[in-house]
Amino acid sequence: MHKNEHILVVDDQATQRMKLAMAVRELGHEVDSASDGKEALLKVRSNSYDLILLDILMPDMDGFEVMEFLKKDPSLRDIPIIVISALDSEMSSVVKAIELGAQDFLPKHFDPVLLRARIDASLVKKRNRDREQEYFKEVSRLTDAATILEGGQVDPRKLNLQDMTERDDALGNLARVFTSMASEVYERERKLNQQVRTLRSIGFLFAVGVVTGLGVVLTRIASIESPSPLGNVLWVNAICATVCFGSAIVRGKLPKLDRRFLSTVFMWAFFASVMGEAVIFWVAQHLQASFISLILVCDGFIVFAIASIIKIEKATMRRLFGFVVGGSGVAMAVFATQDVGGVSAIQWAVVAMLAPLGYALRSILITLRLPEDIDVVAATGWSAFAAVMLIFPVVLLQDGFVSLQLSTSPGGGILALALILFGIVTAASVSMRLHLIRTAGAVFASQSSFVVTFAGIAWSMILLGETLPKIAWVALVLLIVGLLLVGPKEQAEEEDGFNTRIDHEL
Amino acid sequence: MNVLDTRTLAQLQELIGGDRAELLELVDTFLIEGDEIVADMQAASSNGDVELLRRSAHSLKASAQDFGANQLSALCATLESGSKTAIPATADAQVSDIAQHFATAKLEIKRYIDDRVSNGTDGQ
Repeated sequence: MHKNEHILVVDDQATQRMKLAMAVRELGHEVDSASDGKEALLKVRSNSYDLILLDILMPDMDGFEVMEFLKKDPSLRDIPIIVISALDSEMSSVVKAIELGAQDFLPKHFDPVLLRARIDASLVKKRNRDREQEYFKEVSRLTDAATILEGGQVDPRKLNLQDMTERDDALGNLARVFTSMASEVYERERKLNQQVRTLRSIGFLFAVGVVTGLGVVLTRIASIESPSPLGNVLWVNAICATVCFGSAIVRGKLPKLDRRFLSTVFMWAFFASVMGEAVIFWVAQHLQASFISLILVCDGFIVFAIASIIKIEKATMRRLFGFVVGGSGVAMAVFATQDVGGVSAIQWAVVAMLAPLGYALRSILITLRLPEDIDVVAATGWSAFAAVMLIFPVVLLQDGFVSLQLSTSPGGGILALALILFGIVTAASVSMRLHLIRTAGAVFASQSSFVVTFAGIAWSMILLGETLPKIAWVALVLLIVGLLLVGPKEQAEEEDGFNTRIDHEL
Repeated sequence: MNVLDTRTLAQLQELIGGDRAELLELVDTFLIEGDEIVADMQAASSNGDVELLRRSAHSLKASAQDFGANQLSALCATLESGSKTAIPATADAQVSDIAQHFATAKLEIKRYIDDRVSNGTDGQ
């Protein structure tokens, strides 16, 4: 039998109240006393009782009124009540009290055995009722979980049944079945979603790479024709900004500017246009496009290294190994430049690594700071515009403006064509890359660098007739293996909103 | 018939757990409250307050029974049942009788306590 239940004794007579309280305490229960109905109601509302022993005949507020108040209150109506009565004169009152919901009655003059029996019987009933109510609540939770499952939400955490699965009864079995079913479906959906995302991202990744790879070749063509890297970059960004703004305005997607966004696009412009494009234009005067393409692959490794350090992506052993393999590929690629350009080419190759560093910093910046709701093309336009703002004063000081003449001379025509094309290619490739970063993560997006490299080499061979030494091909293989090991961003859904994301993306 | 059934008092002590101090506390409470009830009864009888008279009789009846004052309890029961609608004609006499029995019961209870319970206990 349970002990230490909390019992309230209500009697206006001090002697009776004291006797009853002492007798109940002797049975091992915790006792409170109230000397009238009002005090009883106050105590019941501020404490939790398992049973009330209630005298009927009391001045001001009698036992019947107390019962009526209690039965009206849903939070109190289930506390069992034993009415105390003098059997000889109050039998009709006992009947009325039972009709009002009293569990039992006790004569004023009782013996300990009777007291124990009546109290224990009432407490057992209360415990059974509490269990029953708790059971109903659990059943209700199960039906809620079933409704959630029926509604297509299969995240097992959303079923809120974890504690119930530990029950050793039929409800626990049912909860375990629900949770395990949901987990299986959830896992299946998660994998499917991952596959869909990966496939789609791979397709996009190739598109980004092919377009960006063309940009490297165009850079080489323009840099042969024009000695001013910043002048070229100015044109490329002006054209890119025009194309992107045009597209954003037509689609009504021009974002509102705020300080954070502005600072982001200026940093972006510095990383991508000054560190990236200007350096490529500069080194392209000295290096083959195919070698620049090879060096651009570092982007993937630098992004992975930064993302791991600032913990926006996981650094697993496999990824770290990939990083090491890729790094040796990069070193080999740098030394391979010697075969076509001598020792000075190695120095240019090292300088050229500033470009992938800039692109990598851009990817991280976008991941961390670019608002989700801003249109990718408009954002690209703003970054190009910011690049124009940054570069224009420098070009003005250097008098490095490049004149775009489409037809007056054969060389000028090629330069204009290359820069205009490069501007358009930049608009397309950056917008696409931005989309890829958002959907697949910065590290995965950076894997486009090996496609850029492939495409850059292919375009260089096709358009410029370049060739690569054997060691460069070995380096390329190492780079690709390294990037494959670094792999795409883990898509394990650890936060809420997995299903929302599935719905959004599928 | 004895004024006090001491077996009932012993049962009462057993009911509350046999603790002497608690029994003494309970007895004190009864004796003080009993005086108050008898005073209420007398006032109700002279003022014609039937409700108070009935309730007082009812209260004293139950406690008297607990303390083994069976005659007193019976007198209270008679007064209670006779006061359902109006003050009975014999109310004053009945109340006086009850007061006398209560006074006797008090003495008996005190004697019992002095003889059986207080001996050897501290604080009394």
